[in-house]
Amino acid sequence: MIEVRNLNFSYAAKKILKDINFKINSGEFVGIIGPNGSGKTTLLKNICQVLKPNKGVILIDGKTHYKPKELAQKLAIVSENGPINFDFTVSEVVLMGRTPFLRRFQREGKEDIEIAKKSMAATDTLQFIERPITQLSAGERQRVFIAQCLTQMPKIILLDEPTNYLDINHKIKIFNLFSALNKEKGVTILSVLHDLNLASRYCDKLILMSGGEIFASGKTEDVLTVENIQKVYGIDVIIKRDETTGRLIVLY
Amino acid sequence: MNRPILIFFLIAILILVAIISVSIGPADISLGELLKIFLAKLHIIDYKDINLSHENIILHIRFPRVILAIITGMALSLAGVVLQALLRNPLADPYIIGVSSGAALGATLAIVLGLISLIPLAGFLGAVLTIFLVYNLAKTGYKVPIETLLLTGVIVSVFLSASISLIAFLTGKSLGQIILWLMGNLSENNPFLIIIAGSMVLLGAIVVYIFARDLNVISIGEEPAQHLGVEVETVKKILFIITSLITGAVVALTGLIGFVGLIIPHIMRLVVGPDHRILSVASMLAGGIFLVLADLFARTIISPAEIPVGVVTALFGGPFFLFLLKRKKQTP
Repeated sequence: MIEVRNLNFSYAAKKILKDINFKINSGEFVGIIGPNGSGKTTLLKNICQVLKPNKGVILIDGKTHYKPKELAQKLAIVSENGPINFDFTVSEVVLMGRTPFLRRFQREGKEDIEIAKKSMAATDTLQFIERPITQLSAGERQRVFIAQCLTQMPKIILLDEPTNYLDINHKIKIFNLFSALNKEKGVTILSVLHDLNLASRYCDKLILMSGGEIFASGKTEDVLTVENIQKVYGIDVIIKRDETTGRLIVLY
Repeated sequence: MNRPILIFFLIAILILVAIISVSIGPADISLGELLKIFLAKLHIIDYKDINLSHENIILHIRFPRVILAIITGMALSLAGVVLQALLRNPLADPYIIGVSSGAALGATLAIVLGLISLIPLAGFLGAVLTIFLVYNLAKTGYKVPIETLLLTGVIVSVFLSASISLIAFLTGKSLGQIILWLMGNLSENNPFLIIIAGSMVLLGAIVVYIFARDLNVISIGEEPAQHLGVEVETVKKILFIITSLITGAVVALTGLIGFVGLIIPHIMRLVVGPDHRILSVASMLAGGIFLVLADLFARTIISPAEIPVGVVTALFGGPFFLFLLKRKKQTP
């Protein structure tokens, strides 16, 4: 469960987040949508304790403060990664996902390696297990970091545009994977998304942000309206219902 | 290669080159005589038939020199490994955040004031004060952003180097001595100082090993490391201080010996990969081996005279580094 109460955050003098309030129950799949610069990534970084709120509190399972290691045992994040200059192999990078569970001098055991292999199989990365991470394409590398996140076996997953560099096949595979984790294992998922159709297809609820504030939130059907999108994104769209899935489709 | 075997192999080579290096020099001393001198010193055999001047050369000149070479090679390589990971830049070296220029300024002051015996102390103090200055200038809030640290280090270095040039220029007469110090040499044979530096390097190595796994994750990126529960700012702080202290400790005794801390981590990363649990240990051993050999070369090539070892490491290191860089570009 994630509960955000009256969250305010600014970088130096620039206010990024204003009075954010919401609650995500365990086992929900929630999307955050909104234009560039509306504060989506900053919100995620506040939730995972990389940034500290100027005002307000964030409760994760009822607690406001976690030791970094404690939090990492519960919550994982897939976000934009910077350049990597060292030739760690794919398997080494994925195994790093076990870091929060290992004591200081403890080596990764058989069980850890099993978990890592399963995560690699699920993300279609087993094929380059011994390749250096530096030699992979952006999309392949993104899948390796998704595998690392799965290896952390988190109860809560935060995603920041997790399928940015992925082709359409892997995009759908990865989201089906997260969806399965959500439905079968009850993993709570909070994902920043740009693609409104992906949001509509996978999310139970949406948070629509605009200028550092929540413009609308609630059930996907209620948030994804022609008026909301016109007001926040400034474009006219047509919204239809997909007869087979029953989900909304946004045409632009 | 299997990790324990590799480490064992490197230790064996280190011991071998150390023995060879102690036995070679202007005075002709055989390996057998060398062994006798050590056995006599350890009171295992009697002192009779031992050439006292040879004993003196071995115990007070060559042996401390080889030990100092090992300690220095280890310290610079270890500091290089750690700083490259923390700064996420394989081109970083132990001198990059200004430790060396601080030590150099301290040593320069001691030289121009005629306090030759205080050079190591002044050098060490100079190093410590510089780290303190750079670190606090780079600190913003509770964080130390690496870009700021790097830039601050470079700027402070430039300023300190200019101060050294100014002092050298104004005083004139100590110029030769200052330049010689800056080139780096391993002739310091005060056992007390060598033991202090050696203990600091050993302690530093233990601390680095404690944080070796954290270092792996940090070398991927600071945010990913935070997401995996690593207390990035704390680890960074501890490791910056540790590497600066061990670098300061050896630089105070040897002057500036370049390229070891840049090249050895690079080579060992090619051999054992980037996992710091093995890379840190392997680099230390390889650094020791490399500097013993470089010093052997420096003092035998124009024997009985010697070239400063810092010149040798840079002469070999520079081209070798370019070779590595070229090779890296060719492999996709």
